[in-house]
Amino acid sequence: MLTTEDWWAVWLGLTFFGLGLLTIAGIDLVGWISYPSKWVFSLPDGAVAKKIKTIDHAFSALGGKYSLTAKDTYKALGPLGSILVTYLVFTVATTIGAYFQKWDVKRYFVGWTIIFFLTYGVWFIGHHAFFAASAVDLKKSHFPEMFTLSLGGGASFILALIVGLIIGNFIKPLARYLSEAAKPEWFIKTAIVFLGVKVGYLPIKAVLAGSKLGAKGAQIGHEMANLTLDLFIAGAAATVVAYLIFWPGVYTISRLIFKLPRKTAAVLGSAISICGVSAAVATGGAVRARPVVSIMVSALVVVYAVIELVILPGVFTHVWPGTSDPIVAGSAMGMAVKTDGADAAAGELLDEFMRTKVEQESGGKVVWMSGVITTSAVMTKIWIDMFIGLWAFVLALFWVYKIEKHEGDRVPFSEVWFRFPKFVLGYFAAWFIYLGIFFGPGQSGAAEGMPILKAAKAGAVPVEKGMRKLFFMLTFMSLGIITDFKKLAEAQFGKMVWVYFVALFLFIIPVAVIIAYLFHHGMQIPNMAGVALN
Amino acid sequence: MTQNILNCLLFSMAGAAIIYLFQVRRKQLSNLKAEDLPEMDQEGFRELKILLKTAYERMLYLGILFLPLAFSSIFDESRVSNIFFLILISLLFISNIPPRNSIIRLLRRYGLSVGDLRDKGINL
Repeated sequence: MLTTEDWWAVWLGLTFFGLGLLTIAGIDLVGWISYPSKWVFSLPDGAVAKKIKTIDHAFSALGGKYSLTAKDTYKALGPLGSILVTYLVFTVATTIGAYFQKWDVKRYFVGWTIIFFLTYGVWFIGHHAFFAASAVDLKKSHFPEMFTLSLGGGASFILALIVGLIIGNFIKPLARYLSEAAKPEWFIKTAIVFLGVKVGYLPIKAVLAGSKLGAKGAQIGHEMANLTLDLFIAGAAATVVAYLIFWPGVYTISRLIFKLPRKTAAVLGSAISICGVSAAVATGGAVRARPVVSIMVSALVVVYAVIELVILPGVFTHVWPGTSDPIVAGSAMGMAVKTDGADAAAGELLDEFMRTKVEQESGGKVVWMSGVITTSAVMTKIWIDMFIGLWAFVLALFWVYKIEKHEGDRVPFSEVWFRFPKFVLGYFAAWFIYLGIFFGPGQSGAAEGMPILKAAKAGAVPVEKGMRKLFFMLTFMSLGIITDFKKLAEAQFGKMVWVYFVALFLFIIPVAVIIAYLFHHGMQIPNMAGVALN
Repeated sequence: MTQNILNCLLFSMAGAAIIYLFQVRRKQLSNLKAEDLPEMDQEGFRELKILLKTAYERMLYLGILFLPLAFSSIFDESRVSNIFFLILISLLFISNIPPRNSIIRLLRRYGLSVGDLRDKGINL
């Protein structure tokens, strides 16, 4: 429990989640996290620094805005002070993790430092109004009409990926050095634990934001709580169906069309149809494929996930399923993108793109709370992750008792627990505890529960907003650094590259959207227009 | 073989009945006007129609799935596909609970009940 990436995502995530909870007792230990704002070099005449600020306010400690007990202290940190504290805290926390995971601590420390400051640099550039500001932001800050890319927070993610890919493919000695600290799976799993805070906090946020509207605020809070539970059920159902359709489909394509050997087809089947690297490795072990097969397939998974990450959010937003079915799109993303990191990141991009589009098209009359679409992508993915162990176990049984029939072979049940993605436990703990606060001491948004909910918010926002997005940014940067596009060109990959391409784009993605439609169509994101959102 | 044919007939009839039920309910829904539910505002009525459509659509998918199940149950060697379709049907049935729950919650929000909806010719 102290040596695996999975468990360290839980420890890291739950440590900061726990620190966040202390705000309920009046102690704020998380408000230092540095978070960017959209910025310009100087405000035009008549503009106000509301949604878009000047460069000297490009970063600030979130506690300066949200803390109930230490607002002035965190405000006094200023932009550089908050970045420095963020660096110090996470350097200590992650280096402890690196030490226990038996990585080269010195190399990790130097690599982490470079990646951290590169990430903040990119985060800063990505929040320039030209990249990030939407027409609504411009209007709210009384800016004159000007051209912007309207990418929201998505601009920073794309830039981080591009910078990472440049390092990974053009500055290879640096990429090799940084690889000790470029750990997208660890970062994203930690971010997913933070996402648990986000999911649990959604109803609290809605109630507090809507408290000015009286009964309407409480109603939105309940709608949000119900929506997350609906997503939980629909995600489980969709995942089971996806498993039953995807795996045999990809296996058949590999065997009948591309004539691949049985074991390679099984590993590819799991990687393309289930959950990328983990599933490939788990299946490789279960069917006793040569280790090189799992490694080759894993490399393909990472490269294709990046391609999907770039293509799918835009396609899902502008072509199909579109903004009329945002939850369907999110869930389809969860089924189509095969690594946790790329999926959550693609979900985040989709969330930004869709919210920006719908807000723009409706002229601000429809406003969706951020994170709901990401949640639908991640919820489906988490169910998929949870079943990997079970699937590996089923395959192991099938292979041992049907295909190869080894005399005396036994498959232990501990295999299921061994393959179970442990970070999911952190995600659920964070989610259910915040949900418990909402329904318990928070009294579902009743007047008597409001002080508790406000205190909970002060601890939840720095974690679910600041830390979660920081770890998403670190994921994008690291994913780029470790991605080598040359791997696709290597000759022995030829057939697998084509199987992957055909299966993914002609089978998995369209079927994923159909399955997502079956189980998620009709789910609505509550409209927060008219409610002050923070 | 006789057992297989009986199963096939049973599943086909179940599928056909559900599809027929869907058609009837969709027709009833298309006749429902905002004026029939004066307790609801425009936003609530729109939400109710979307939720009812969702619930009915899932019922349709469920009905349609009985047809391939009926077909596969003719053959002796089709146990795996039978199980697959049964799992799919069960999951669709389960996933049809949340929209119906949402409808009940929505109705309560406006001081209505499922009985009131039934009085207007709309069944859940």
